[in-house]
Amino acid sequence: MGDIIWGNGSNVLSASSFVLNVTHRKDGNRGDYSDMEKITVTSADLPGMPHNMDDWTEGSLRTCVVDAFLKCEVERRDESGTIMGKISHSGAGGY
Amino acid sequence: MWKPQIVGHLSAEEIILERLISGKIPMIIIHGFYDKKSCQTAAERIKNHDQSQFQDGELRHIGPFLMAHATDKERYFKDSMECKITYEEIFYGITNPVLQIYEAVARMFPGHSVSLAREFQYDYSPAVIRIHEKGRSVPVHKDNVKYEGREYAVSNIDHQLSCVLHLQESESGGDLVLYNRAWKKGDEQFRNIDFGYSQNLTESSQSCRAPNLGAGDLVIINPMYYHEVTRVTGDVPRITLGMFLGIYSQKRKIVAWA
Repeated sequence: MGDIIWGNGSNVLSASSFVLNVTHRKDGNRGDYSDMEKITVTSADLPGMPHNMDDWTEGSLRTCVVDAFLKCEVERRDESGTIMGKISHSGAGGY
Repeated sequence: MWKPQIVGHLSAEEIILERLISGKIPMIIIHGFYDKKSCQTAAERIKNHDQSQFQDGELRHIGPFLMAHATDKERYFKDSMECKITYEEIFYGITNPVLQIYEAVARMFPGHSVSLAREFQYDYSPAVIRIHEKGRSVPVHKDNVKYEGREYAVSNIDHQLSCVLHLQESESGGDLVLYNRAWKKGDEQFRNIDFGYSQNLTESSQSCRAPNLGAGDLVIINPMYYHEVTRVTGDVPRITLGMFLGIYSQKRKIVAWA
């Protein structure tokens, strides 16, 4: 199992990258994660986002991630320190 | 006082759902909505039926529900089609409670049509049956298809209500609690990892615990208001059938789905 962090999306930096305000870290993560991490999305499971990432825009990403509670499954960090990972929008309900 | 409206099963016309939509009341309870004997029959069949697991086996259910397939419409509509046979088996020879709920809602909303939600040629899931065994609870949460179900046509409704028919109650626990606090997007910072929200979010809010629910009782809530189900502490599982109602005000149309 890879590292996982959770938090709320904030600034959108491009059509596939944004800042995550990290609120939770999986027990047993190998890496250290600060309270704000830049994320580049490598794959996603986000309601409202086109399934083909080529169709993503900054606007559509902003609508889906800003303030939303997101799960990031970390794949790696690039040279600049940005996290590359899969992003999903967790939450299912009904009582 | 934030108190529920409690009515008998023949008094659906007295219900003013707008009071629920505006948050003036926490819930509407219709006692004896569904025949107790039919509840027993359905509950027995449900116990013997294949059940799916959700959230790492924490919750057992029959029938798909949209929020579990927020980004997988193909799977949701396929499962919705297949679950029709399951419901026919469970309610064979007894009144189908889903249709009974539609009829009651039509009486509460004169001049509105009530039907199962459809998207292109696909039917949505009509209901989800949830089985909560001893030790299970549902944390504080809200349901908002306009936010979480954006890939589905029902996300363009004006208002959402939740109907839950209690088919079997546990001897203790499993109580529905509503909080007088409606969800807003900023609350997402209080999310739990897997599901629901921190208890801190609602601790200063007025609350209402559904009083004396029994098999056959129908509860209607505005699911934008935070709600939870307390831990089931009895040996008998709590079994419910749930569906959402989506209201299109201008079109005077109501659609149902799970």
